[in-house]
Amino acid sequence: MNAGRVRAVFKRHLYMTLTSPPRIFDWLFWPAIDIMLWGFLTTFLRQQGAKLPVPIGFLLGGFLLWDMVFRSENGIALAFLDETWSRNVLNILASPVTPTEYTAGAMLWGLSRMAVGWSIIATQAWLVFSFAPSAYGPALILFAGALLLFAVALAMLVLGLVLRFGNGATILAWGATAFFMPLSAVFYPVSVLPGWARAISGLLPTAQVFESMRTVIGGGAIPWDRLARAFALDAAFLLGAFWFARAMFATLRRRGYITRFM
Amino acid sequence: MYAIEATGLTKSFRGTRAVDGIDLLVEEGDLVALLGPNGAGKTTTLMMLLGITEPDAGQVRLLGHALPEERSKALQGANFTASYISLPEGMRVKHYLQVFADLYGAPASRVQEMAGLLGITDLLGRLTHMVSSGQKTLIGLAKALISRPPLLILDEPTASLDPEVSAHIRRLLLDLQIEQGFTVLITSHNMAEIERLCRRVVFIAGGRIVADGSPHAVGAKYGADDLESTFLSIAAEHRTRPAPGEAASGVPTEVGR
Repeated sequence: MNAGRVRAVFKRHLYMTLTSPPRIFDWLFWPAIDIMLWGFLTTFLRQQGAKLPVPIGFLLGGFLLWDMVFRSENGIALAFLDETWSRNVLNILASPVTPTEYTAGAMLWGLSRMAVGWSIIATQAWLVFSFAPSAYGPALILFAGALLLFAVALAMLVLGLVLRFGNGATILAWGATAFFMPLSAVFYPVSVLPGWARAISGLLPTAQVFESMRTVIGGGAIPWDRLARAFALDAAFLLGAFWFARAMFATLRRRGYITRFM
Repeated sequence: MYAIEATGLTKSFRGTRAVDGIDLLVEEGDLVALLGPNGAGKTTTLMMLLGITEPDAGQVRLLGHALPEERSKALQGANFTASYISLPEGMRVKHYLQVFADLYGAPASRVQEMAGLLGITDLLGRLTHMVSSGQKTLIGLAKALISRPPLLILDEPTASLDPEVSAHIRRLLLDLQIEQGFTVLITSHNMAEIERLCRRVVFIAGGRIVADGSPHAVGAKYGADDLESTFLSIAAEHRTRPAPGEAASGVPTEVGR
């Protein structure tokens, strides 16, 4: 892997973002608006003295963690999609950058973009709604790690679908996380799901993380077994997603689908 | 030593041959034109030479590196531009060129150097969607030259340029080629341009090579005085509908879903 080429891919997306007010708005302001929504809902429930089986902070906590998944997946997938929208795919494929280097650069960009945006909304949650990320305790690192791995897997899945079906599949950059959100039990325990949904939920690393989050925010110990299961499921999702993206790239080369991006 | 060694290149889309057993050897330092009517298989051939489309059969070596195994090494020494390639919207021209200088491992100073050569220095601070199509072509050429590639592959590079700018580009390419000795493989429908630029022309029609030699020798074979007449004779002799995988514009279409 050539680090210079990975940096070049990162810089390509950084330069493009810094000259685009709509992209900066999407990057920094939408999350701030979202946190206001969930923050005021949390404040309202507190004022009503709502009796819930877990501390009310789980709503804000859930939002903050889910935002990590959405922003990371979206950032990485958009890095690929920007090449297709600007008809730059051929330039990239005709250059010495390898698929691995390009993916690494896109991941570096997507995760950096998420880290900056997330830091801003986490600070906002702390200053405006008195919800500090310290509520997660040291488990935050594990939660973030497990969720980011899942986000990378989803981005690879979206990339594979775009390579196979062209720009028609780009809507999935936004829709992929939404598809998994209800089964990930972000804002409610897995126990409220019907049996069939619980079975699917048990296969999602995200559901393991959010169940763990509620335990930790409620003052419980870190559920190591659940987190170990989350990472094991992440490994399976990553393997499958990278295999799929690679297979779709091979199909593009074999069937001449490059014409979809010219 | 060959810059391009392609043997037995074959590509079918949905069972129909778009490229049918092309053998192409291009010596280092040569200026070669790949010519043919729309849909002849030129762009599909170029895509296989660049390792972007996988041939059904045949082998490609670029600058001594076999594809696809040594694709990254081969493409480190090759560069490419085409009239149908756009620029990423919302980037400054200097950033666009800088990114590609980095991708090819060229020094940052090359951005200014190439901009000066192509007369686009005043465009460097502009956003890519604020330049004309002719200026985009010049920026694409700057990108293709930024790595000082031993092998330059150009697909109709002057298609959107006026005659004066085309002539400037042609002179520039010739001067640089003499100075740096790189190999050029070019496609174009501007026969006068090819006649002035290339020492060798390779005509393809129906996915096969039908004539190969100096512009003069190929013209003599068809009893033609110039390359344009040669082209018309060859096109008439091999007139077919565009092969699957190539639109009338010469840009491959999507087939074989």
